[in-house]
Amino acid sequence: MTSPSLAATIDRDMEASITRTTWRFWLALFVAAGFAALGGWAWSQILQVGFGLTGLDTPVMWGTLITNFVFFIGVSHAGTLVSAILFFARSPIRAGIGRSAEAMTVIAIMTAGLFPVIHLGRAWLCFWLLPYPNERQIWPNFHSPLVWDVFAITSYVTISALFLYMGLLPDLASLGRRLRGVRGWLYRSLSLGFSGTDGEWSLYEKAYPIFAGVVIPLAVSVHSVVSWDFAMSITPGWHSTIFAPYFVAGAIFSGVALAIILLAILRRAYNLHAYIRESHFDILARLMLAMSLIMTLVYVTEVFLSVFHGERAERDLYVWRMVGSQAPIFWSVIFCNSIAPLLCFSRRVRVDLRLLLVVAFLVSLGMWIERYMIVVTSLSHGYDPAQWGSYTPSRYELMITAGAFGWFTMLFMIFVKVFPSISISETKQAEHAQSSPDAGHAQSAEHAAIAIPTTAGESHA
Amino acid sequence: MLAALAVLAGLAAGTGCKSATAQPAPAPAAAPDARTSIPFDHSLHAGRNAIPCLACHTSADKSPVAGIPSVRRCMGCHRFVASDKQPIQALSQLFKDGQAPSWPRVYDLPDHVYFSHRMHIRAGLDCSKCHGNVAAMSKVTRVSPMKMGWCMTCHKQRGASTECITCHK
Amino acid sequence: MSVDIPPVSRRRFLVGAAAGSTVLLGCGETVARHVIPWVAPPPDAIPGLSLFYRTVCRECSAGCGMTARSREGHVVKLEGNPEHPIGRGALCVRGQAAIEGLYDPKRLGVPSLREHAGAASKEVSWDAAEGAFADALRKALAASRPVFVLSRPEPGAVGTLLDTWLAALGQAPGQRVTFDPLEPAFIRAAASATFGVATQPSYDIAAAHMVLSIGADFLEDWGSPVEHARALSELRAKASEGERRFVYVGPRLSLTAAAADEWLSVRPGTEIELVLALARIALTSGGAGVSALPAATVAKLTQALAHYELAGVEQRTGLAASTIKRLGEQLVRARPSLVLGPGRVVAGQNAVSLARAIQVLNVLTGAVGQTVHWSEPAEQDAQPSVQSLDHLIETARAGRIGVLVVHHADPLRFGAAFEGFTELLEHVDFVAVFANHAEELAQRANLVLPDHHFLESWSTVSPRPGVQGIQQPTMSPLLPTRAAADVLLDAARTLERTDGLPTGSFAEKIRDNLTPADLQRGGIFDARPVHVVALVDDPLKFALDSASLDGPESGLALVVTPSLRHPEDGRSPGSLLSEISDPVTGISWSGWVELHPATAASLGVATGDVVRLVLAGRQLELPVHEHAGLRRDIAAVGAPFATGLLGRGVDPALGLLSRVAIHKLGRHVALAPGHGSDRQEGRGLALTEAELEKQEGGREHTHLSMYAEHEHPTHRWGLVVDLDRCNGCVACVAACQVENNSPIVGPKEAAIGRTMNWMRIERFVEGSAEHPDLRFVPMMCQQCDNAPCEGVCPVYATYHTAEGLNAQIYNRCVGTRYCENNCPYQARRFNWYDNPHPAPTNLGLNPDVSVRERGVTEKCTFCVQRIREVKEQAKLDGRQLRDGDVTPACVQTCPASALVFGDLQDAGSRVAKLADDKRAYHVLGHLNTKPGVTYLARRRRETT
Repeated sequence: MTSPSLAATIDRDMEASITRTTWRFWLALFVAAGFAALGGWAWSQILQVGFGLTGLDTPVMWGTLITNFVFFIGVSHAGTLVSAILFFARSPIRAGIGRSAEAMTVIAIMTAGLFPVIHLGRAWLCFWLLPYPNERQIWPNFHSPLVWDVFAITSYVTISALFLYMGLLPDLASLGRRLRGVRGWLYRSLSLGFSGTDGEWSLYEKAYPIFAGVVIPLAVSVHSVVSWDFAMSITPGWHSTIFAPYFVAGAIFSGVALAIILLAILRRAYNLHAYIRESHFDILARLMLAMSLIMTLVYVTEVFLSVFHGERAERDLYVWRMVGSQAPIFWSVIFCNSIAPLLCFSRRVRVDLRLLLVVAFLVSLGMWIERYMIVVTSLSHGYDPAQWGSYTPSRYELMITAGAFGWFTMLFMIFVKVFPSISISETKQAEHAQSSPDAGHAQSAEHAAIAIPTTAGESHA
Repeated sequence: MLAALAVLAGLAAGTGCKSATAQPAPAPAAAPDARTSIPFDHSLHAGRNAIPCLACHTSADKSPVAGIPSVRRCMGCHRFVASDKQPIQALSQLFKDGQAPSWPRVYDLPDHVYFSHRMHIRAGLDCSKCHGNVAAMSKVTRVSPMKMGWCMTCHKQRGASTECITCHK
Repeated sequence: MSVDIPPVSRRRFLVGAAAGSTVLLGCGETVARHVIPWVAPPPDAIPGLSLFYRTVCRECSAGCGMTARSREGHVVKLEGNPEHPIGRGALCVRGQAAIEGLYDPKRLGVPSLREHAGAASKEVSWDAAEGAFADALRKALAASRPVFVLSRPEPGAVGTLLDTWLAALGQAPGQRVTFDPLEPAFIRAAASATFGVATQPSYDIAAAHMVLSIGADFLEDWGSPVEHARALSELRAKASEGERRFVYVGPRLSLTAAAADEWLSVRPGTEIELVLALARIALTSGGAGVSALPAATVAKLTQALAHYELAGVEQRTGLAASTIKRLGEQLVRARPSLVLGPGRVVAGQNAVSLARAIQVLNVLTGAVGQTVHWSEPAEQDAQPSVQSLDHLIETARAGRIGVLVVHHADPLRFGAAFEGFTELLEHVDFVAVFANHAEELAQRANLVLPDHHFLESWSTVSPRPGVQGIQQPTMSPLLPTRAAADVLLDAARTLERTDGLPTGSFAEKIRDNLTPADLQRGGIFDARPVHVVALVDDPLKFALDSASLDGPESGLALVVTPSLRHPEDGRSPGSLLSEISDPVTGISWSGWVELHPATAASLGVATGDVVRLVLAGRQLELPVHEHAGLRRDIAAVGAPFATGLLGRGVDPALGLLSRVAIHKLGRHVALAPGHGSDRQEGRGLALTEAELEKQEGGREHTHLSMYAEHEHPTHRWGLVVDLDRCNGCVACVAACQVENNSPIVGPKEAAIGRTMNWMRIERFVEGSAEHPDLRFVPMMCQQCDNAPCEGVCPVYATYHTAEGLNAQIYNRCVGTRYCENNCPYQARRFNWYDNPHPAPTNLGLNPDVSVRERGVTEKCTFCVQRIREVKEQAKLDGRQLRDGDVTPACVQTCPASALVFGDLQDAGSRVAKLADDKRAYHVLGHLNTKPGVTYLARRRRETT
C-alpha cells in the first residue's frame, strides 16, 4: 500500500529529476560523450584508411562490429516489448519501469542502427541500400536479408519512438503547466496542446493500445529478421531454422538484464525507491530467469541438431566450438546465460539488488559474447579447411565498441534529464486504482492533477 | 538515429560517390604548356571541309577506342594545307621535335566503364547521337551527360543489352 | 603482327598512360585532362586493341617461347608461344611474373662509373660511360692484360657475339666464361664418360611406360620445367592405353614426387646402390638393351654388378628388397622405360658416378635411343662449368686481369660457393657489368651499364639443337638503357678491332637473316637428326661408392631443394613470386627449413620456431616447417635460402650436403599464410577416382528449389580442372594476378590471410604418416548456377549473367562482405586498403580490367574481359563463337593443360564432354551450388 502523498510527491520528484543537476551527472555525461567521440574518431580512421585497420580477414569478414549490432538490437527488444506486454497485463509495475524501458529501446536502436553503416566497406554509399528512384535505374536486391534489415529497423525505430512519445504526452502537458521559462515552453509545445480533457483522454486511451498492439508483433518480427541475416546464409553455424526464436528469446533476455541495470542506477541516482520497488525487480528477475531457461533449451537443441546433423562441416564446427581453441568462449556463454541466472530461483537474490545486479551484468556480458561466438567462430571454421582462419578485434574495433556504449549511455542520460523517467500520469493512475476501485475516478483524479497541479488532494473537493 | 543520419549525410557529401576503381597516377606529361596547346577548329575540318569523322578518328569503327589522329596524320595534309598559318607552323615545329600537342579531353568515362565505339557504330549509331553536331562547333563542348541513366535509357529503347557486365569492367 | 619497333618516342609511351588513366572527382564528373596523341603510331598499332609480339622467355635457361600482349605500346601480359616446341604455349610461374621485372621501379636506367678504386660510383652519361669502357679496354690491350667475359648461358646470337667480340680483341676463347650455377654439369660429365658425348641429353617422358626419377625434380628445375610438365601430363592422359607408371625416389615429397604414383626414399647418398641393383636385375632378367651389347661389355657389367644382390642393397639403402625387385621388373617389363636423374636432392659428392650408373641402367633397359636422346650438336654455346670459372680465378691469381666484362651473371649471390671470385675482383683492373639491377656484383663494379630488359631487346636463343627462338623487342625501352651488344660493338669500333663483327647495329644483324614469317612464328624450328650413342667398353669402371656425408653423426643430412618460385641465377624474386605460396609447404615471402614432424618433436621444435643450422662453421637461421613428406634423417632447405651454408668450392648444383647440426633458438615467427588446415577433414575437396566411387551416393542429389532454374539462352561458361594432370605448379595463380591487376599485399598482410589472389592452389596432405599423399586443388570462383553470394548482396553488385557467370560489378559494391561470408569456396577477396600502383608499374596494368578501390569485393570472373573481346570480334566478323575461342589467363598458361574452358551448352565442346566424364565431380556439390567448375578426380595407381 503506497503512501497517500505519492501523487503529490511524484510531480515534485520528477520535476527534481529534470531541474536539479548534480556535478556527478555532468561528469558521467562528459565521460560517456568522451567515449562516443573516441568511437567516432576510430570510425573516421577506418573511413580514410580502409577496413585493414580492423582485425578482419579472409574468412572472418564480420566481427566485433556486427556483434555490437546484434547486441544492441537485442537490448532494444526488452524495453518496448516488456512495457507493451505489461500494459495489456494492466500490471501495476509498468508505471515504474515502462518509461525507461521504452527509452532504452529507442536509444538502443539508434545505436544499433549505426553499425550496419559503419560496417560498410564504402559507407559513403550506404544510401544505395534504400529503395528510391534513381538516375542509375536500379533498385536494391529485395532478396537480400540486409535489405530486409533496412525495413525492419526503420519501422521498428519509428513505431517505438511514437509509442514512447505517446506515453509522454500527459506528463509533458503536466510539466508544461508546472514549469516556467524555456523548459515550460518546450514541454508545452511538445505536449501538442494536450490539456487532459475527458475527450482527449478517451482518444488517448483508444490510441495507446493500438501502438502497444503494433509494437509486440513488430518487436518479434524485427529480431527474427536480424536473425535471418545469419540463418539465410549457408555458413555452418548460421544456417539453422532455430535462429529466429533463438534471437528473439535472446533479445528479450539481454534486454531485461540491461533494464534491471538501468533501473537500479536510475533508482539510486534519483532516489526513486518509492516508484521502483523491490517487487518490480522481483518480477523482472523472474522474467530473466524464464528467458534464461528458454535460452538453455535453445543451446541444447542447437548443439543436438548440429552434432547429429548430416552435414560434416556443421558437426565439426560445433564440436570445435565446444572443445576446440574457441571453447572458452562457448563455455563462458553457457556460464553467464544458463548457469548464473539460476540464482534467481532464490527470492533472496531476486530482491537483493546487489546480487541481482551481478547476475544481470553477467547475463548482459554473456549475451554479447554469445553474439560474438555466433558471428566469429562460425566464419572461422567454414567448409574449406584450407581457408580456416582466426580473428582478434583490432583496437579500432574496440574503440568503436566503447564508443557505442558511450553513445548509448549519453543518449539515455540526456533522455532522463529532459523527460520524466517515470510515467507521472500512470503512477497516479496506479495509486488511484489502488485507493478506489473505480477506474473512472482514477481518470478524473488524473486530469485534476494536471489542471490544478499544486495539490492533488483538492480535486476531490 | 537522426544524429547518425546527419553524420552520414555529411559523409556522403564529403566523399561524393567515388568510383570503385582507384586510378593509377596520370602520366606526368599530361599537363599542357604553351608550346603544346594548339587551337583546333572542328567546324573548319568537319564542317566547312566536310572531312568525315573516321578520316581522323580512324579506329572508331574497329576498336573500342575512337583514337586521336597522330601528328604525322595531321601533317599529312598540313605539310601543304594552310602551312603559312601560325598554328600550323607551331604544329610542324612540334612534329620536327618529335613532340605532340596535348588536347583537352571533352568526353571521358570512368575506368570502371567499358565503352566500345566499334560496337556502337556497328549498331548504326551516328557519331552525332552522342557527340552532337561537331561539324557546327568551332570549340567542341560536351552535349550529353555520359551518365549511366542516359546510357540505360538508350539501351532500353533500342533493346540493347542491359546486363551490368556488358558495360562495367 | 609487327616486325619491328619504331624509334623511341617518350610521348609514345606516355600516351598509353594518358589514355589508360582517368581520374574521377565528385559524382562522376571528370576533370579536364589532356590527351597526347602519337607523334607517329607504331605500325599496326590501333589504340584500344592488343598487339602480340613473339619472343623468348629469359627467366631461366629453358628458353620457352613467349607471346607478349601489348596495349598502347606497353606490354601488359605475357603468355606462351604455341608454335614454340619448348613451351608449346605454356609458361611457368616465373615466366608469368617476368613482366614485373620489366616495370620494376628499381630497374637501372642510367650508367654509373667509379672513377678509381675506393671512389663512390656516380651516374654518368652514356657517352662518358662508353668512353670509360673503351679506355679501360685500350689500357688492358696496351698492357697486354687479358680481357675476360663472364656471362649467363647465351646459347644464340648474343653468345656468338660475345665470342667473336673477344676474338676481335685478340683474346683466347677460354676467356669467355659461362656461369650457370644450377646446371647439372655432372650429367654432361657422366655422358662424356659413358658415351663420349659431352652434352645434355633430352628425355621423352611422354613416350615412356614407366618413368623412374632418381631425385630429379623435373617439374621444379632440372632443365625445362614447362616442357617436362607437359610431357608428364601427356603420360597421365595415356593411362587409358594401359599401364603407365611414374615412381619417384628421393628424400623429400617434392612437387614432382607428389605427381608420382609412388614416392620412395633410400638412405641419403645410397641412391647409387639402388640404381646398380636395378641395373643388375635388368642385366639378369633380360632388359631390352642387353642383347645389343657386345658380350665383353656384358661380362664386365655382370662382374661389376655382382656385388649388388637384393639382400645387401636392402640392408645398405633401407629400401625393402621386394620393392627393389618390383621396380626392377617393372623397368624391364615397361617398353620403353625411362630413368631420370640424378636430381639435385640426391646429387652429393658422387653425383657423376650416380649419373653414370643411371645412364648405364638406361642402356640396359633399352631407354637410350628410345626415350633418352642426344641430338647432333649444332652451334653450341660455351658449356658452363665451375672449372671455367676456376680458370678465370687462377688467371687472376697468376697475374692481373685487364678488364672483366660481366654480362647478366653474379657469382657473389651464391655465398661462399664462389669465394674465390670475391678476391678475384682485387686482381682485376676494371670490372664492367651489364645488368638490369644493382646486384651485389654491380655494386663492386667500376662501371655499370644498364642493359635493356629482355622484353626490349633483340637476340636469338637456342636452348637445344634444332630450336632457335627469336627474342624480339616487345616494346620500346622504358628507360634510357642501351643494348649490351651495341655497347660492346661500339667499344670494338672505337678500338678499331672489328674483324668478324657486324657493321651495323646488333638488331639489324639479327633482323637481316630473319623473315617476317620467322618473327611471327617466334623462331626457326627444325628436327635435328638423333645422334646414336654407343656405350664405352667398360662403363662401370669407376668408384661405385655411395656419397659420404661428413659432419656430426647426430646431425641431419642437409638436402637443398629446388624452388619453383625463385630465379635460378640467385636474383631475389619479385614481390609477385614472393607472395604466391610455395605449393609444397604453402609458405610465402619467407624462407624455411623442413623437418619431419617426428624429427621436429625430437628437437623440441614446431612449425614457426626459428632454429640455427650449423654446417662446417657456417650458420643460418630459419623458421621450421613440419613436412610429413620428408625422411626423418634429413633437413631440407630451399636453394634460395641455403646459399649461406654453401662452402667454398661446393658446386651449388649439388643438393645433398654433409650433415648439419640444428639448434633451437626459442624464437617463433608467423609463417605466411598463417592459417588453414593441412587436411581435408573429410570434406572431399580433392578426390581420387577410388574415393569418388566410394562416395558416389553423396555426390549430387537433386534439391527442390523455390526459384526457377537459371536459363542460359546463348552460353554457359564452364571450366574443367583435371586433378590427374594438375601438378600444383602455381603458374595459373601468377597468370591470374597479372591479367586481373590483383594487388600484392606484402608479408604482414599475407600472414593474416589478406592476400588478394583470385585463384589459389589448395594443398592437402592425405594418407598415412608413412605414405603421405600431397594433393593440389586449383580453387577459384566456381561460378555457381545457384550462387550463395548472389542472393545476399543488397545492391546487386554481384548477380547472375545470362551466360552463367557470377558477375561482380566493382563500382556498385558497397562492401557489406556478406557474399564473402556466404561463399563456401572462399573465392572472394576484399580490398582492405587502396592499392597503389606507383609509376612505372601502372603502365603494366591491364587496361581491360579496372583497378579496384578500397572497400570493394572482387573475385574471379573467368576473365570476362577476354570473353567480351572475343564475342565482340566474332560479332564484327559475323560468325558464331567456336570452342576454344575464349581462353582465360589460367587456362592459357597451364603447362599440364589441366584446365579446360568452354561453353557447357555446346554439347560438342571439350569442356562439356569432360564435365560428363566418369571422374567428374563438383567440389562441395552437395550444397546444391551447381558450380560451373567441374573437377576430374585424380587417378592413383595403387602400389602393385
